[in-house]
Amino acid sequence: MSDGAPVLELRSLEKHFDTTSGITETIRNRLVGEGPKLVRAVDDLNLTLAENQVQGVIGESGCGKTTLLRTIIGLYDPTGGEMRFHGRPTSEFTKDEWKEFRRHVQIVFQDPFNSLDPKFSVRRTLAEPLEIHGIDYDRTDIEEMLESVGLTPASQYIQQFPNQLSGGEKQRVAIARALITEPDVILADEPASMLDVSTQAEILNLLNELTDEFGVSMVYISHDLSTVSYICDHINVMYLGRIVEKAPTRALLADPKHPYTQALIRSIPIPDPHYDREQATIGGEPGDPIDMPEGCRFKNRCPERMDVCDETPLDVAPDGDGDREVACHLYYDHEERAGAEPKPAASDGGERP
Amino acid sequence: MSVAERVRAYRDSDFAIIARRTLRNLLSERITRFAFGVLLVVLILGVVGPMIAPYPYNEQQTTASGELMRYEPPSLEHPLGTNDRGEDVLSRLLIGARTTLITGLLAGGLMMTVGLSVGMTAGYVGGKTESLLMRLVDFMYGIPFIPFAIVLITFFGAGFYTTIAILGLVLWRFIARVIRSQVLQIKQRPYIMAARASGASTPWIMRKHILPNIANMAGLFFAMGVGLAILEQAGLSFIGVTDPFTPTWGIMIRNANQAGRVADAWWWSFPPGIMIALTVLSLYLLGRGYEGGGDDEVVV
Repeated sequence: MSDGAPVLELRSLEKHFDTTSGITETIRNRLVGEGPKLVRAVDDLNLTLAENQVQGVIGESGCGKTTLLRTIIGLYDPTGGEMRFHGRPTSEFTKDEWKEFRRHVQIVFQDPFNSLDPKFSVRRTLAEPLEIHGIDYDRTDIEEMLESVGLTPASQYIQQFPNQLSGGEKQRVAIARALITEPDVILADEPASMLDVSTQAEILNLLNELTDEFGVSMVYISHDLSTVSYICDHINVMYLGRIVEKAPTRALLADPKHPYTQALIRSIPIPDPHYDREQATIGGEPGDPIDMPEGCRFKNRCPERMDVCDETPLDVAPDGDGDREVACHLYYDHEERAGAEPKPAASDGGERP
Repeated sequence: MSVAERVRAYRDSDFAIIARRTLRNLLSERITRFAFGVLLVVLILGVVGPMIAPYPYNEQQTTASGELMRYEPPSLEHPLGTNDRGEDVLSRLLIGARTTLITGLLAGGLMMTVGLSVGMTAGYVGGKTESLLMRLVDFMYGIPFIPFAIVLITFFGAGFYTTIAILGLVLWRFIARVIRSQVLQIKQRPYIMAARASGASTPWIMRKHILPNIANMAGLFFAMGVGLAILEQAGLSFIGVTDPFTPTWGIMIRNANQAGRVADAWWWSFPPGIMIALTVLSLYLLGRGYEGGGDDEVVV
């Protein structure tokens, strides 16, 4: 573990789904000579998770967040690219190594009301991963874990069933289940989004404390920029299967580069009815992941659209800042335009029919 | 571990807690309490019936003067009278409780075993296996039960256990369908994914997560299966394609009907009819209560 390799590394990871349904369609595709229609849920995605780091992934619904998560956990086989765990590519894993991997990578789901088996008491819920991996445990191990996720007194909770717990308590149990095998990585799929606002803060604080205390890294996936910024060291902004901008949390919030990130940050609600704000400027629907536009995927909604947007943008470091990357033509030299003006009046060349 | 400790450990286990809670839910409704009571009585009759029967079920009763007692109305000596051959109806009814119960439980168990295996495999594995199994179920649905049973019985002979096997091996179809739909629903739940993500194997998930979560539904359909088996067996008995020498309740009704004395000798034809109706009704009512009893675990 101390060989310096990041805990988890995704290198141009791809997960495409074939939408072809039924045999007739397959035959027709063959005859016409076109390939099957693919949903590019995750496409050419790079992510590096260092030890003790919290990486946030943010994007709107349908951008491939959940597919990304399920691919990382090994529920889906990636169709391309590579995933490395402690420097070892997962494609070379044997069955035993997969099992070991699953012990070290745990997941916390969005919906606490359905992520606990209603027929399992809290004790059995926590004991299950230990039993699967053949780890010895006794009642005090489970009680200690319950105490550390803030369910005190543990003896009162240990014999309860999910229907006797509140939403926040359920999510704490889910977190305890994820932590009990002493994992290296926790994948959190919007763990707070289905809870009351007051409980949300508690759960986020708990995750913050526990990742420090247990020394685990976390990938935190959400559509809610306010919770992501609360908990993450780094934020990755995802759009239609790709990461369009990655930066340390503060830098991203203070100075978003990609037009999509700018729009996202402008759309965070501010709880003050008299606050006069700029309206979110992107209109339209998120694109269709089947018939993806050529080049930049955001170009059809982008207020800054240029001709060059028909080519796929490179990941560049804006302002020479090595810590962040943005995939946008605005930030590197082209003949017609260098750098970005803060607010261009109209997009140039975007009005083609 | 001492016995007391073991008992205590069992009482605190999840299974015992859930079983106790289900039972409590089940008995909280008046109508299921009634059904439960009736079934308990039938069960006890099935176990001790043949022992408390006042006469051997096929002994022809005669008066002191040696005259055969046919169509004797109920009296203290013969509380449910006698039938056309002078046999004591109450004794036959008590013996019939056991045979009816054996039919119901064995055929119901067989239906459950086949239906559960097919339904769970189809639901969880999916793909080609699922299509194949569900087409088999559709095919089974296409079989008209009574004619099919008659054909099979002419082939294999009218035995008591042959009838049970035929009942069990045809009527599992509705269980398979329902179980499959339940499994399809449950396998999408995040807790299944959580278990898979932490490395649980398919048999583990089937045994520890899916089976307990469809147990309520399976219990309901087991009860309905037992009821259906008893009904169909009575039907087959009535048209005369089961073993006529084993006195089930259905056979008693058939005998009364064949003697043409259903209405006159009411003490002969009504009691088995009432017993069948009461038992099947209670099984169906119990199923309803079982279904309702599990609901609180889904609702938040």
